[in-house]
Amino acid sequence: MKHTRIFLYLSTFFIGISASIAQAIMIRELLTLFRGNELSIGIIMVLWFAGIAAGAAVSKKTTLHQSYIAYIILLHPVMLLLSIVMLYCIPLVYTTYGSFYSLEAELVIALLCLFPQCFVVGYIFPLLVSTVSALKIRYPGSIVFFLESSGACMGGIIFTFLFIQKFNPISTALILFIAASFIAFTHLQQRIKRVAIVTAIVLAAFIIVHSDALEKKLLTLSFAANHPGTLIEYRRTPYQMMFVAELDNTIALYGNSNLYAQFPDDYSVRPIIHALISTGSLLKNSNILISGDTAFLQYVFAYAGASIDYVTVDPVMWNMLQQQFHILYPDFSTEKIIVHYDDTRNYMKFAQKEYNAIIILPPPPDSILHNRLYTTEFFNDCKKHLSANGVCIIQIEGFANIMNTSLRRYVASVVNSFRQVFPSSLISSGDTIYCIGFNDNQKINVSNYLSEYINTFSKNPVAKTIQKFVPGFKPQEFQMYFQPSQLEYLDNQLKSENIINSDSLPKGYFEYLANSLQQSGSFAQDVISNPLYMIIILILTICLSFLYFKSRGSQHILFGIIIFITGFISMAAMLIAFIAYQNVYGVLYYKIALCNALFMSGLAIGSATTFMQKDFFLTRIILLVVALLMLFYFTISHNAILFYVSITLIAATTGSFIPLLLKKLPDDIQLLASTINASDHIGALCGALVTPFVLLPVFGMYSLWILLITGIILAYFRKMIC
Amino acid sequence: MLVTGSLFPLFPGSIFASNYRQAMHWKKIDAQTVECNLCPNQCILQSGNKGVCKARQCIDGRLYSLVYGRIAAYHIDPIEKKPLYHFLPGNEALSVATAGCNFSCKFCQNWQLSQSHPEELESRYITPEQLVNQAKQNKTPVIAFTYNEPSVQYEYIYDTVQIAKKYNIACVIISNGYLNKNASQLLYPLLNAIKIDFKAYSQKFYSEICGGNLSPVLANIELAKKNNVWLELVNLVIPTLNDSPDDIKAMARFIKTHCGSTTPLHFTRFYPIYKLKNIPPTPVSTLEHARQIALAEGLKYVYIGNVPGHTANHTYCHNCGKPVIERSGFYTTTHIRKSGKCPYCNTAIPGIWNL
Repeated sequence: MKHTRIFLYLSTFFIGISASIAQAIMIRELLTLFRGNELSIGIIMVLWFAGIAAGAAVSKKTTLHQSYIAYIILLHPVMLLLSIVMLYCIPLVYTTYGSFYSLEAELVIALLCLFPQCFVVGYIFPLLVSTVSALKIRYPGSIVFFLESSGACMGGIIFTFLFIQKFNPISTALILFIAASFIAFTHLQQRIKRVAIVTAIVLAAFIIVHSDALEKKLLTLSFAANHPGTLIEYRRTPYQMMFVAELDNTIALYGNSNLYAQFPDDYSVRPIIHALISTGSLLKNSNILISGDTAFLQYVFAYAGASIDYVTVDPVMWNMLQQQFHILYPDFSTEKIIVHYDDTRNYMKFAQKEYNAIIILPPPPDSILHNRLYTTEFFNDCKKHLSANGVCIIQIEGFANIMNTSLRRYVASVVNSFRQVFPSSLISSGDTIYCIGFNDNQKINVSNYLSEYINTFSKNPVAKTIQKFVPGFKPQEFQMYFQPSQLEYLDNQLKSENIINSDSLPKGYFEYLANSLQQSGSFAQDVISNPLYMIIILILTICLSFLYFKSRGSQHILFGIIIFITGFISMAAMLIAFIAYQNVYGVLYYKIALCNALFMSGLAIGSATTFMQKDFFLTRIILLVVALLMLFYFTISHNAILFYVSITLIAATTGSFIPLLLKKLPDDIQLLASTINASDHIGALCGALVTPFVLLPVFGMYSLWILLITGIILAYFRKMIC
Repeated sequence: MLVTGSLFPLFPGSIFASNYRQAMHWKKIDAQTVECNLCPNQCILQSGNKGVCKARQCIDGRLYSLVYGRIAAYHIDPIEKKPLYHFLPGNEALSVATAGCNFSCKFCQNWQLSQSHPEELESRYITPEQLVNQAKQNKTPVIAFTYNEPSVQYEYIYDTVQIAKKYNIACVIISNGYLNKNASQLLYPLLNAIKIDFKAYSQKFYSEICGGNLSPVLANIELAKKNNVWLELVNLVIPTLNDSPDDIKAMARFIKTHCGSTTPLHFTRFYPIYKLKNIPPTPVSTLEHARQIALAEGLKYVYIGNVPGHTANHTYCHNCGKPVIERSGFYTTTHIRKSGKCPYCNTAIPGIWNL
């Protein structure tokens, strides 16, 4: 009896660890394969929850032997391993040279890779609850939920501080398999099974030793099938998967499969050099802040006498750039370049320095993370750091000859935001639009400005220095970005759009996304651009779930609704919290494991509170409302402690409802665990669907008020279950 | 190509037929079916269906142009932007475009025009007379049918060109060269200049990346030259997809043999766009290498485009090698004589220098 109990507890704890590590690995690896924005994350999360919900829903009353649990915990890391190998092999079979996978393809790939392993995680929960319950232990639901959450919390910590740095995904899956094998070994008594397990452990250890070579081979082949050039190096940094490729004497740098930089390329940054010199900047002894994946600008400006502060989040990225740059340009010195390894937004928030010029060249706003560098709030932060006659220069993706609706709205949202902060500004036109914002309030006339630049260029002391390093550099060239008829067209287009891109309502991101989807010819564009479609999907999901669980009786329906609501709130609140946090502090990816660990510890704490006799149903709801209010206050005050406390509290309150309700029907516990676990993940699934596509585009951060009202609705069920 | 359905069969009835200009180059197959003979796609269309180009539709057993005069993009561009480097340098062109294209290039810079249906784009109706008048008012000596594939507005160009001639306004097309012989034989002699995108010397590239075929393009390049229309060719070099030295060599040979060694060839730089967003820009060294190959094959005027400030943007006299036109972006400094001769050695530089 004691032996069985320990086995069950270990298995529960292990499945928590294994599931959370699998989630972290799959998100990272899928984002390397996909384009890596919120849509991809949305697809991953939705399928993750769908898999667990499906597994839980079909895990009804069974009379399975306990050994079955041992097989399931062995199966999970094996499925993870297969998914990883499948992810490495898909680009070899399904090549999309030079293009990203369509959203539909992402959906199918993620489904194949995620659904089976998530199904197992969902399937085992009711089974564990039922088996623990059979041992006549009090509050079996609370125990299983507590152990699984604690395991997930532990998994997050181990992954961040050990696996991510020391092991590749194949090894990680195999280490999990070895751990599962040890647990199974304690339970499976037959000699033949034990011999099989030992053999599997030896085989796994052998593959671990050779996994680096295997991974390198697979990644090199898949890179070659989808990208030009030869893969020289790849590295997993805390932020992304970096690929370095050589292409006809140039180096191309990819982060999560997105092309970030290519050099040597002194041609593509020339407009920025023109933009800065045209403002009359003398460079000598001036302070310039640069953010963006470039190296040439830093070196040229530093060479011309300026002090450069370069902000980049990923040290590995800069080291790779610098290393290659020195080979190509051995004459350049790095003395006047100070590198700050920080998120640009975070740096701007807390830096004290004043700059003569701030040059921001982020990737396009294809994710909310990147969009933060195109918002009114960020431009205001930039302005605060400019000297009296300082300039801020940004570039955005523009248009060739016409703009469709989404492109027009995207460009308008960013340019309007920029102009709002810099009323005195110069906006170019064309494939790339350059925006030059002046801190002083001079009135700009485009043709006079350009004429003055052309006439005074030769008098600028840095002209010769620049011309030495940038071949054929002439001020007349700058005119091509201010073609009168294109400027007129742009002005007319912008007049019709009065929208702003802000942190709380990231219009630029949504419009950019709509435009990207239109380019890829994806049907998802219609779904995304019209929130109504998502609401229809939501209603359909709810109706189908209701029909499925209807036969289980009214109490199951009632409990299912409650858990659906808590699942929905927790997912939606977490997504909003993450975006709000990201807006202020930058790359959440780096701290995602900490956030997950806090969320999971919140679930564990929540389930621990259900060991008590009393329900405290109303107290939990009040605490949930308080947590949502704290989160909303965080979006205004930007106090990080509020963020950490609120997500823990949201998890503790919403998570506590699962074990709480599991106490209510002890005689029907496996079926109830099935209903509740499935409802929780259906709720989370709906939260993951509705938040990025309906709540955020329409209400922005104010969506939290909708969640708050939804949370209060929970109080309505108080009398029904108490 | 049999077109069995249309995504947007919005104008199926004869009520709307009066809004459109009846197309040229088609034949009736039966009462409700026509075959479009404008381009090698040879679309067979039943009433209500549109061609691959999205710009021509069969309405009640007749073929109509949906884009006649429906101008969706209108700009005044430097002629160098086309790029036409040996045709009235330093001048501006009134540039117009409609929706639609008979290709589906994954790297199309103007995908919003070329891959749209006419009814999806805001457009204004400009008659050929009005267009010529606007060119006169704007003092642009050239009208350029550009951005999307101009042959989809074949009838409009055909009408405009004849009016423009009366006012000494030049007409040029910036085309993919994907036109049937009958159609090009009728149109090309009326034009003053043609720029053809020679996308690759590879059938595989044309079929997989552009949705077309190489041979009709080759035929039209030859035909343009035979008709004495000023011809310039552009090859957008995309890393790995069409930058093989062998293909570039074969392309240069073809041009030399069929169009002459003085036909300008522009190797332009690819930037990630539309469906090819995850390919790095073409390394400048690749373009320089391509240029060297073409020069070695005997072509005299080989340029590098989309690389502002590059020395291969300038025009060098093929005899003395001195720069006769210097370019910085779209800004030009012309040293060439009005007669079109090199100021240093008096050699005639091929091109159209005056109207």
